[in-house]
Parts: sequence; structure tokens; C-alpha cells
Amino acid sequence: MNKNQDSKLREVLGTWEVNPRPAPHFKAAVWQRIAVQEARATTGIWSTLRDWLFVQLPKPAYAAALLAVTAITGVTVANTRAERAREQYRLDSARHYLASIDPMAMTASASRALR
Amino acid sequence: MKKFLILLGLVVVVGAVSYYICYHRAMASVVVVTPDGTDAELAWLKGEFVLTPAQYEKVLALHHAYRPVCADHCRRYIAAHRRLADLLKERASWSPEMDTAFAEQARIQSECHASMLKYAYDVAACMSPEQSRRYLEMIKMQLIEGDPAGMFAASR
Repeated sequence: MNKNQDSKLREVLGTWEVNPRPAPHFKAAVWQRIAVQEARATTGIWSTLRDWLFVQLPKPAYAAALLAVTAITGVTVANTRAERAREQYRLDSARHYLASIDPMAMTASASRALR
Repeated sequence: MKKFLILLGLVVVVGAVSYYICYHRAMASVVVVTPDGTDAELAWLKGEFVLTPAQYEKVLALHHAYRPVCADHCRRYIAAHRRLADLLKERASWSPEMDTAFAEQARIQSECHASMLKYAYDVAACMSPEQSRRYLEMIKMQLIEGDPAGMFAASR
């Protein structure tokens, strides 16, 4: 008897289909939630950046690191520029010296000055 | 926000100060002009070719003795050059005067180079062997190429 009822029940369950009707404005609601999440993510980047710049960066550890990097950059740029300036100075001085002993160079510079 | 602005100000100050100090320290060895503003090129020569005070005195004496000779050559060369330029402007065809003017200019040019080379060898003789070799290399580069840039580019 039980066996017979089980097989009937199984048969009924096998043919049972659930077709619920979607909630009204289901798709629109999904898209709206996606849009809200996206907006929240964008705002999050800016607020994180703002937080990092105005709250975290001025903390002593970060500030000291930033100042050290600035000083190293300043020294490196100054050395590079000074090196170039020294090389240019050497070449200009050599030209001046040679112009002071080479009548041809002196004549050329005098002609250039006259133009 | 206030702390951030203070930090920004500090960054600018630290960057500028480190740049300024380092640049001026690096350029301190460069003599742009001598204290009295004269012979700046000789002050450079002294540093570039590592002249001792005694060597520098000798070079200075040679330079001052050569200066009027060089100025005279310069004057004569300019006169010869102008003569030639005037002839080329005036004449529409070849003339024997042009030949003479060309020869005169070439003769003065040759005299100039010979005189400069003699001065250079005298100056080089005052220097140490290594510096003498470098100095003469610069002079030869000037005579052959008309500019010593190659020598200074090579030493970089």
C-alpha cells in the first residue's frame, strides 16, 4: 500500500512544474540596483583617494617618506643639471680660450658681431 | 585639509632647498669669471689642465706676450679678407688682383696658424706630459675641425 502510494506520489511530483510569475518591474529593479552599486563604487574611489590624501598622507610616517623622496629627487635633478652645465661651461671656456689665441676664430667672431 | 596644505608647502620648500644647495655646491668648482673679471679663459685653462701656480705664471706670461701678436694677425687677416671680398663684389670677371688677394689671405692665414701653433707648443711645454698631450689635442682639433667640441664630447 505504502509502496503503491509512493510510486503515485513520485509520479505526481515528477509531473509537477512550478512556474512562478516574476515580480512586477523585476528587470527594472535589477538594473536600478546595478546602477546604484556602480555609483557607489565610483564614489568609493574618490572618497578613498580623498581620505588617503587628506588623512593618511599627512601622518608622520607617510609625510616623512614623501619629504625624503622630494629631497632625493631635488638632489638628483640638481646633480644632473649641474653636470650638464659644467660640461657646457668647459666647452664654452675652451671656445673662448681658442678664440683668444686663434686669429681665424677671432675674425669669425668679429664678423658675426658685425652682422 | 590644513595638514595636507602644510605638507604640500613643506614638499615645495624641501624640494627647492635641496635643489638649490646641491646645484650651487656642484657648480662651486666652476669659475665663471676671475675675481677681477679678466682672463676668465686662463682661469679655466688653469683648472682644466691642472696647472700648478708656477706653470700658470709661465702660461700667463706667454699668453700676454702672444696677445698683441695675435691681434696684429687678426687685423691683417681681416684687412686681406675685406680686400678679397671687395674685389669679388666689384669685379664681374676674373682678374690678377683676385689671385694676389687670395694668395695674400692664404699667406696671412698660414702665418696665423704657424704663430698660434708655436704659442701652443710653448704653452704645452709648461704643462705635465699628460696635460700637454690633452692641450695639444684640443689645439689640433681647433686647427683641423675648427671646433674643440669633439674633444669634450669624447671625454664625457
